[in-house]
Amino acid sequence: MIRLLALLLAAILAGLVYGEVHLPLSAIRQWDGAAELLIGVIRAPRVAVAVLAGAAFGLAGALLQSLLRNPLASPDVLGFTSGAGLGAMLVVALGGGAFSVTLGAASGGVLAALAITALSWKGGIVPLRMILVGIGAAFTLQAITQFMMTRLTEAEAVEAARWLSGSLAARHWGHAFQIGLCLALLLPLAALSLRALRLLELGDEVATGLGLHITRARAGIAALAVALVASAVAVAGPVPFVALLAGPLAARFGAPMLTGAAVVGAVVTVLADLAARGLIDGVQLPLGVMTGILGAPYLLWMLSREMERGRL
Amino acid sequence: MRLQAKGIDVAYDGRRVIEGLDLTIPDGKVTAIIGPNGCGKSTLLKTLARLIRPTKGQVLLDGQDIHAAHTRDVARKLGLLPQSPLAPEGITVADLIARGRAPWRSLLGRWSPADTAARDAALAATALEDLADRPIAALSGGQRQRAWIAMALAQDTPILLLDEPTTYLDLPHQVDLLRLLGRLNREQGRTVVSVLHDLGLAARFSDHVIVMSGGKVLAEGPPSEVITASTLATAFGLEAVVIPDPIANTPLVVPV
Amino acid sequence: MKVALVIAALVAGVVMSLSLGARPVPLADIRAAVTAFDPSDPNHLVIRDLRLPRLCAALIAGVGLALAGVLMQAVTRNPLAEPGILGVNAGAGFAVVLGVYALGLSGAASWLAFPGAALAAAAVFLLGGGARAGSGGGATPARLALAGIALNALLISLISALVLMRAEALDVYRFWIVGSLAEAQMRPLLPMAITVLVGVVLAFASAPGLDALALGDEAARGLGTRTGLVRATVLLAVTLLCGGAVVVAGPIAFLGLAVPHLARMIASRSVVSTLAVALPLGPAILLAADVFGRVVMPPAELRVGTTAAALGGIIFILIARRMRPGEVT
Repeated sequence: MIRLLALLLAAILAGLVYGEVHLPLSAIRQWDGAAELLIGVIRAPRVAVAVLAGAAFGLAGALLQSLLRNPLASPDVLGFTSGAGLGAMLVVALGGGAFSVTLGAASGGVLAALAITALSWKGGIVPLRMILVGIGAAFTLQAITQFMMTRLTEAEAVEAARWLSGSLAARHWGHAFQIGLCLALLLPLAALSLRALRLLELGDEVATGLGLHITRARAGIAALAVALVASAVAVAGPVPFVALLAGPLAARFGAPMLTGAAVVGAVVTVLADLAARGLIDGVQLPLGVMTGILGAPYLLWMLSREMERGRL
Repeated sequence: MRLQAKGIDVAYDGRRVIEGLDLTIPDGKVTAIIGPNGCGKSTLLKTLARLIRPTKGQVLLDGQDIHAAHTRDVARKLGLLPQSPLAPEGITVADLIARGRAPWRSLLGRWSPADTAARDAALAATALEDLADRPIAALSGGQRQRAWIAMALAQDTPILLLDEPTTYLDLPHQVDLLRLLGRLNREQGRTVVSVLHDLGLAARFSDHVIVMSGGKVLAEGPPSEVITASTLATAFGLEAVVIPDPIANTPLVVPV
Repeated sequence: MKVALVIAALVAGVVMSLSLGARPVPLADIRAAVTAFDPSDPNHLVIRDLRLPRLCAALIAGVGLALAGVLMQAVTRNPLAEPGILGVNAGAGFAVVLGVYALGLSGAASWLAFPGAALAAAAVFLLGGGARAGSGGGATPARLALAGIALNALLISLISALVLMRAEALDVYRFWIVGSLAEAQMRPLLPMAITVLVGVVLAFASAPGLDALALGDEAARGLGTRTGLVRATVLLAVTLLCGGAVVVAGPIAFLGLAVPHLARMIASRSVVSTLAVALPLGPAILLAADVFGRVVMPPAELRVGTTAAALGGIIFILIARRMRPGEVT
């Protein structure tokens, strides 16, 4: 855990110091006008949003993965993220402000989660069936989102396309404050859900035997995960793969399940954003493109490992 | 009698598995539920443990409908070990056992000395003290099953239900495990109910046997009265001679 | 009878595709545009320069993706296999984009679609557990689908990176991500038509072998089928079919999923008859989706890939729901 926190600190510093415009260390030390503008106004809020949204994605992923006892069951694979993306996009298309975008993302996420759960229900939930249904739902939801985009002007559509692949361009302190507020409300609930998760981990029958109301606990934890995803999507777009890889990566570091996943999610997002804006000179790629390039090979590796262990 | 089923019908996957079943679990005894595959014995145990809700009739725990009671209160009276439970990755023996304390802890309550005492007692009863800090995955099959039983023991319930606890164990470990259950019954006075596959072991290690067939109770009572050639023929379609076991004098099934 | 209906649907699709749109063209003008072309008539120009190429592209892509879907589902014995979901289309698209933007090729880049599709098809099959047939059941539906979305996500991210790096027009980006029949007149239609035709021939040639493979590898070998040869033929056919389709229409998803299922409802379950029904059904559905996208809210146009994905996602869910838990894993 200490290692992870040190890594987060290093990532934050790197996110502040490096960027398209090179800032000499002397300028930073003197804190001149350029440093003030580049770091204080442009980079700091962006890094703050990356940390907070990444943590929210990571936490949501870890919650769902342990809820369904399947490392593939993250909100992006299950289609929840696409639902939140569609909800936010609808509000953007209607010209809503920051608050209503969050609300739109939340309603989209909740509706998608309910629909996907209902569609995968067949006398119970089989995680793999739910994953397949989620994959199909994600395609449909993304297509409807594309459909919404055709209603925008060309300039808005370009902006929306970037946002939909997950982007942290031009984030300001308002965004950071918004996601910060959401996390302040949701983190205590995550702490409370930990004990129920520990029982659910043992399987439905054991958890019931130990006196847990599993349906209620499940619904509560799933709702919490969706709320976290929606808060993050509202400020960063539907960034893929962060939620998927944060939990298992944290486990490899031997960190506690939920806090570890949150920190890893933050580290991954800050670093991916740094790479997206700094890797190629003069090009700002959307964050989601970068997490896609990093995350998809990880998913493939995880698949082959799950197969080795005969769990898939 | 604390645990009873009254006229229950149970459906599983839309198929009626148990029909009009009445049953009383004798307190303070070791009970074995036996029967051929698909006779509904596991379904019965799950229904007794409130995992399945009967479509008709009710399961009574201390005279109250088990589904009307708060699930946490039930969990303080009745412990459950399902068939081949899965341990989360990396969990240690001590941690697994600690989770058995869940029904005794409040939402924000801290780990108490009583919790520690219950955990240590469970470790001692299952002879797992030396393995407390080992991950479950590193244990042998027999040790792993003991760890799960220890978790159910830490739950500190007067009634313990186990669904085929001996599956996947070799014979010596099966015997060890059933001896352990017997000790828990004798020394701590717990009521133990297990679904068992092996007729010989059921006859040898239980005080009370329930034979199920086609979703009904075919016979119940002490092994010597219940495990007879005619019951075996009716329940299993097995032609066998039953003779007294030369060591324990319990019924010994010899197929012909 | 049902087959006649499919062919009637295809004919209706062809006619609607030529006559409907932002500028409706009467039937008489369509015929005249072909038989007695008059360059001064705007209707004739629309038909010749825009709608006929678009129709050709739809026919090529519809046939290519539908037959590729039939072959992939048969060879993997997996009802969810499909060139879009499994990343084969994205592989073809990525190779072309790579050729254009990273290697500076122009027309020749189209041909890179074929190695791209072949590599992606082989990769997804191996990553999805196809090589592990001995231990633990080989390429199960869930494994293949997950390997497919991972590969797809990776390739789409790479396409996005390459295209967005150049700050190109949004339309280029959308063509390579979603698939579209707009601007079909700019695509190399004739060479791709020939390629897809070769793919169709190979597909029918492999059909008897695939029927034998449906009984399992060992039974197929017992029947004298050369399983390796059948698989190689299928891979080649899928490559040609998907590559050609992607070059003219972009990586359209789900057509290859839906058509084989519908075709099996209409035809008997043998691969030959499924292919025969899929042949007119694929372009019929693609044309219907395209016409729908053009008339649903003019003057804006919905890309055919978007319509296909929206409908296809639902079909994917229906198929996944129908599978028993044992079949999923």
